[in-house]
Amino acid sequence: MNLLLVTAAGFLLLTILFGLIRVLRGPGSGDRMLTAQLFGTSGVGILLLLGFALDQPALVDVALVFALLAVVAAVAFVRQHGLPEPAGTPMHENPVEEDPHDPGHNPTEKTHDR
Amino acid sequence: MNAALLAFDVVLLAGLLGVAWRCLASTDLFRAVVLFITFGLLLAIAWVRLEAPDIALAEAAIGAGITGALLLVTLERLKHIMNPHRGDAGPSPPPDPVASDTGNADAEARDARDPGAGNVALSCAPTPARGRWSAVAVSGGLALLLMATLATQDHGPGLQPAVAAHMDVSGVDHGITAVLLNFRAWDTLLELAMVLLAGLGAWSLGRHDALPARPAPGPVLPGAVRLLLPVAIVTGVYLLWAGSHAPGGAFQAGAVLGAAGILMSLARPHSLPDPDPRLLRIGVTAGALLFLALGLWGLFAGPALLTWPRNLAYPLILIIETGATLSIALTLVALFVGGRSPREDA
Amino acid sequence: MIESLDPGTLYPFGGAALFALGLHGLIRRRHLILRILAVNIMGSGVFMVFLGIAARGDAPPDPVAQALTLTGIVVAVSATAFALALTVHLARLTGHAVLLPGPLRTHRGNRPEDP
Repeated sequence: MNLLLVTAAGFLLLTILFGLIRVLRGPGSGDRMLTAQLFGTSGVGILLLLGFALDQPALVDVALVFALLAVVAAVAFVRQHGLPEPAGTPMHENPVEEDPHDPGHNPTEKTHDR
Repeated sequence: MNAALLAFDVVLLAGLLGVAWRCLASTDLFRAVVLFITFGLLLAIAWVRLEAPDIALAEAAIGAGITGALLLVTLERLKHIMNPHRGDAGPSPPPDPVASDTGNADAEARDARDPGAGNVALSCAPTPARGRWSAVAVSGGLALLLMATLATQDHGPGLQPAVAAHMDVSGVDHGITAVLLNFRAWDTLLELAMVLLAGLGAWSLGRHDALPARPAPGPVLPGAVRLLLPVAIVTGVYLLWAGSHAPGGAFQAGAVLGAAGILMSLARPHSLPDPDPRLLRIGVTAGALLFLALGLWGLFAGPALLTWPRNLAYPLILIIETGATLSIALTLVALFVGGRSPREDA
Repeated sequence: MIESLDPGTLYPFGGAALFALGLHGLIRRRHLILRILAVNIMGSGVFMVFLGIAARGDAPPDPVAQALTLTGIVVAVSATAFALALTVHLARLTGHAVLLPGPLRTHRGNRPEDP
């Protein structure tokens, strides 16, 4: 049983490492930020699985704090990038790559689909 | 089971090192910041593997709630300072002449002259190759030296038996809280002084400006904040309470409450929260002053300076922790806001 | 030398490597934000060495080392926040977030002439 939990936690860790590709490649800052949010969710999963596997009930509190506060960075980001960026102020390395998609710059941000 | 855990540890360490490496090698500051947030998450998991749930809690509250928002807002402020005309639709403004004549091999300047490099504030050129190997030699040599020391050092039981033997006089049931607030109370007092000093330092830099932002219209942000704030406050108070018998305590609670305060200031569209400066000053210093006052009282009523009479230890520790939580939370929010309130200069 | 690879044996080595990585970044990168991140990574390496040594052996981990690390994290985050405030202030005065050799030149008001 514990072996299963640890294996599952390891699998989630591997998904985080694969997700890093999106952070490294981008291309937009929205992609990077959303990946970090996804990592937060995987991290909560890892903490809960380890908490049961290693019999450390305090890890539930750690997971709670993570789940609660992961949103703060997202709010800090959305506040500044919630609307499409005006032309000429790219947030990322390679503005040329991104320009065709610019109107939908952060299509995944929740503030869009109001 | 053990093999699976060992594999987990190895993957986690490899991930930590890889993320730190890419973070520091990044030419895009935003990417570096996101990688650093990821680094904090992996670090919290590493602390869990090292049987340190207290540290993992602190890392979770700091890494997720405070550092990320602080770094993102700092990047935004830098961008605002260096490209003051952003927000006007149109071609990007000409680079600041000062930024580009600062000359020589300076990374910023090269970016400013290169029209394709995008934003001056948010990218920086890769470091020139000169001196690469000496830097690698210095840091690598130091790492090898450290590892050699670690490999040869034999380990005794540490201070764990001593702490366990004195738990009954500490007033609390959790070892780390006993160390922090009773056995080594000096450390915690100086830690509070350090937090206070950082806050005063930020205030000494002048008034704060409103956070640069294009506020997102719509009900999502205020609605989310309205739901999250009460939960965050309850969690913070719970952690403060839990500190006496389980992982938790003043700093973790202060960090969670500080993150709640940061969330609140982020949710305001154009201004920052602006409490009465006198109340704010009292709140920021309360933790350290209360601790010091009770510590001095311990000199006369208890065994020694910064120690507590055995039967009063628990209530005193709870009072000190409450004050410390309040001060830490307020100071973290003040550091996030980044300056004095405009009302103080009026 | 290494009897078994329990976390208390494995992680201090990772901490040493993290410290070296952060030091390398601190030496090599010039943008102040990256330098602040580098110092933080160095600090994390130190914490990892500390906690790893505290967790060695079969006994419960050493609470004194953990308490010291907690204090260290608090100090690190305060120092980081203050350093970021200083960086913003420097950028406001000079127009860039890099420490350059020579006297500080502000871009508004009386700028001292180049030597």
